[in-house]
Amino acid sequence: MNHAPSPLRAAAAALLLPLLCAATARADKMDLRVIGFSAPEREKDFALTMEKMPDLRAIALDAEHARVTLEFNPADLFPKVKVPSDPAAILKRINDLTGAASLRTFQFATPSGLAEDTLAKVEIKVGLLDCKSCRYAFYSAVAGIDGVERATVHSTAGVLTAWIDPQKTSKDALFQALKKLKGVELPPQ
Amino acid sequence: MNFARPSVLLVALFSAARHGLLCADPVPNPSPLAPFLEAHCADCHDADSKKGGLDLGALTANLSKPDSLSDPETFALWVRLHDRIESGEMPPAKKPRPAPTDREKALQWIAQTLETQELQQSRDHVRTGVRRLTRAEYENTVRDLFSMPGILVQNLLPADGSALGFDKNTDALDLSHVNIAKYVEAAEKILDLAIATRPTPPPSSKIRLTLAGNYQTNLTLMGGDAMLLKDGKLHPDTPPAGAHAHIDQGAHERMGAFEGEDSSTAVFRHEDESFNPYYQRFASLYPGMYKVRASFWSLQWEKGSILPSRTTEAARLSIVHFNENGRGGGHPSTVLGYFDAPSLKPAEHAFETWLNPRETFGFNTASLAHVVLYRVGTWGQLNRTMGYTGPCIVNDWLEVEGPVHDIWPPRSHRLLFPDLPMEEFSPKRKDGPRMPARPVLKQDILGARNRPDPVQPAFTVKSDQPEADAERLLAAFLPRAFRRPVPDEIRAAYLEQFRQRLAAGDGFELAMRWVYRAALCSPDFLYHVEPATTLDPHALASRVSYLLWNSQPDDTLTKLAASGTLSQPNTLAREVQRLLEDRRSDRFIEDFLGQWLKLRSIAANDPDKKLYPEFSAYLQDSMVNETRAFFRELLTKNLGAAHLVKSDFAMLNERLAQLYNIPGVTGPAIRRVQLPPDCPRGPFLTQAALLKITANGTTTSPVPRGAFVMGRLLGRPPQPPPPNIPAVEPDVRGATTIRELLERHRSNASCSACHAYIDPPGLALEAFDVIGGMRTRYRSLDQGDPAPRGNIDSKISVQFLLGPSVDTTGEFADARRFSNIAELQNLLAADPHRLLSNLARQLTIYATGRDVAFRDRAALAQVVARTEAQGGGLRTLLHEVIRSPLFQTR
Repeated sequence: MNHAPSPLRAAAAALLLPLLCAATARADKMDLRVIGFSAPEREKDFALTMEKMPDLRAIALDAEHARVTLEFNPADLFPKVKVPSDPAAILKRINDLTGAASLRTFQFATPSGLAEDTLAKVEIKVGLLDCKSCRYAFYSAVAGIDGVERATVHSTAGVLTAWIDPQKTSKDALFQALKKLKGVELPPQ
Repeated sequence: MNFARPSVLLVALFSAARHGLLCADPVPNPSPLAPFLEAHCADCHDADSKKGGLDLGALTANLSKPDSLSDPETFALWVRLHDRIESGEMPPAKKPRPAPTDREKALQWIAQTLETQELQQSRDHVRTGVRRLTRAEYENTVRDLFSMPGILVQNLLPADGSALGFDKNTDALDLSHVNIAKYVEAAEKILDLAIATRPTPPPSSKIRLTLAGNYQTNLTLMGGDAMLLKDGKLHPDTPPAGAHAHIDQGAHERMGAFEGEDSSTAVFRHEDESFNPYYQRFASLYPGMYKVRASFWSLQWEKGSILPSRTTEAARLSIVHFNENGRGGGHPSTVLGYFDAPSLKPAEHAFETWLNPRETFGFNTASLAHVVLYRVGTWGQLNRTMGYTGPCIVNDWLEVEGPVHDIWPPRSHRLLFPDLPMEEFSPKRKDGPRMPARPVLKQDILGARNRPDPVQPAFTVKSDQPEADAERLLAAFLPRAFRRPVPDEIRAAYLEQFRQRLAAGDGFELAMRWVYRAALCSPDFLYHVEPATTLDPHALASRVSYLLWNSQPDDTLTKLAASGTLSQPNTLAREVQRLLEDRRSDRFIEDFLGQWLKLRSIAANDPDKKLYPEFSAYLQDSMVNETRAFFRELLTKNLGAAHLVKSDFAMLNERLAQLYNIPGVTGPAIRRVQLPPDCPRGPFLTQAALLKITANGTTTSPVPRGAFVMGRLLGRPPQPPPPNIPAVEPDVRGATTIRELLERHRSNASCSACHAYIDPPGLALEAFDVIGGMRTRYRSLDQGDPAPRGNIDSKISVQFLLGPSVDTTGEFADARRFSNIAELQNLLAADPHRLLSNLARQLTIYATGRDVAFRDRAALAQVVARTEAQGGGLRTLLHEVIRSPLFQTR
């Protein structure tokens, strides 16, 4: 028996396959807050992380405000199970993938929705920080605090700048979190 | 024992005793001894005086008892009597000298009598008893037999004893049930590693490792005792710790700060109790040879600037043998070597080494000060690394490739199953013959990233005609393992064991494994089997091989033995030369010097850290390497025995040259260095290793050093101290010198005779301290003047003081005087015959596994005479020992 596809069958497949794919493909988008932008140099790391996740595409990035729009096909994120309807479950899956790709140095969160002018800008002197990982360590100490919208560490100025929701946290809370870092002696403010 | 034959000595001396020394009855004396003793010895060694504890009256009175000379202690006493008279030491110089003819007659008479007695005693038994392999011999034999040059089995076996200074002596090599149990355990381990479990070799991988990445190094990088570099400059992303230490080790690891293969790790800190860096990301899975490359260099760090290094620093690599799953520290390690780390220019080093499963490589900044710089910043160093100035050793990378197999199955497997194929089997099957266990290989060392290749099917050795194959395999294996032809009946016994195992349900491989294990635990393997008289060719091959390689004969030696040509003098000499030129002869040097010169005891004590702060493991290893290299040089250049005490060259590296104050030597490699004319360094006598071994870590004493020189170098060991005499304890406060204490001790008449004999060489060696450094004043912790730093590393704190001056003058029992070490060296070197004779004796004891008996002295003297006639070189001596009847008879 000859199992080679006939020319007719091959032509039909060439026509139908894109149609079938289009029927199952779904391009969802999510606007998210990026946790991990400790300094401008992290933009490059973020790009490398995204390269490791072909199923997620950053179609718009505002590194200064730590915001990104991700595009993805939910079916690609959940290849062997049913796609959940709960957006939180999808975000969790995205964070699992991102955590694995970046050794948990990048994560995503739902934006707070606060207007920019309602955020308070806080500056804390941290001293000279010429080490990229140390900058990240300082950033990490405050980035997880509820009410911190975004933060960044300037190496030459030796200042950590954070934009916070004053209803939820304060400069002192951030200062105390930094002081808890082992081995840190913060300069006089 | 023959009680019917009265000893000749007994009869003669009984007459002598009656004649004068022991009683007044004037009976004619048939021997020349009695009048000699009466005239020259009785004054000091009668029952009243008993000088030196010797009562000749009691000694000769005991001879009235039958076979009293069969008592080893009495025999030894008479030998000593002979030797003291022969050396001229007795009667002492201040007494009238005996007429030479009287002396000769007396000596000849004692010698003949002792030889006759010895012959009577040894008539019915061989000279060298049955000897089992020492631990070192066992391990080397296994390594060579199975072509597994780094397998570790020695540490599984109980420690060997020692007799006459050597563990190869029959009397030291007993065997207990513990040994047997351990031999079984060792055999299992050997076969586990030797037998291939797959038809194709495990994949060889090449992994490039960096020091950064393991927990300890990361911690050190965080604190500031190490830093990362990239392209020889400060790492742009992870610069050295500055105003504060790096923050949050976990954050750094997540950010991949320590991951980059292009990062070099620069280390300021020497290893210590809590810092033993190793390449944690690799742990060997498969036994075999691995190719290793590593890149090292050094720099001088000055508060952020990279400057040329002060010298070529030394980086140490070792093999780390992981405990359990590698958690925690304290893993034992074996030093691989010290490698050049030149200034600012990376040096690549390449070598091959055997790795057992669960091993990796360790690193140490060997030549840096071994002081705790621990977190340079937190202990007062402003701005941590960026405020620090000091030397630093950089490791760019270490690359490990392997296992490298030039053939598969490996030679170890081919030795056991030379040409049999392998077949797959299911480990889960319940029916059929029992198959070997094939546990799934896993990487269980924490932090190691290399993994075994995917699970393979289980394979076993296949045989279509088991009995015929077993017979064929045993016929090939047993002679190689037993180091001689194996009679048919012995092979048949092993074959019968194979049949029984097969009948009991074992598959072919398991049944053969059982038989091989039995062979490895059998006396034929574990013992040196030698004929009772002259050695046969195979026993001779083994003796030569176990002397020069500390292991079994190779194929060439075995073929020469089989052809019967090995014992021909020219052939034997050629083979001895071949074996000496092979690197395996390093084992001889290591084993012989380890025992003759006690190098094995080099780490028996650690020098006091306040008195000798400059001492380090690197210095200690350099000391041992110096002594070995010096002996190798004496053999290679065939230099004379005077070099044991005086030499115009030394074998040094930079660290030793620093200790010895000899300029112009850089780097860790030991090399020959020509010495200035007045330099006492070079020979064994003044090598730091021996000076350390003969000290106690805090103080020196002329007594143990003198005893060492007399016994080990001159062949005249002093008698053990009498019971209930306390040792002379040095005054560690520095108020009283050891010489003053000894003089008090020697004021006791019963002590003075022995110490006049023992101490003199030790008095001159007071010129050297506990670690072999030269001194003119004793170091002290309580009293004295502030000590100049000298060439002690500037990072090391100098706390000791300089106490009383050292007096190196002395006088031998025969009234020869010296005022310093150089004069002592001249006196000792003036008698190379004595030095050569002693070395000949030490080599003979080591090579034959038994003492040199009194009646062997003539043969030994002939060895020495033949050597001297050819120029007196040490290599010649070794050849002459091997061609002598002492060596070639059991």
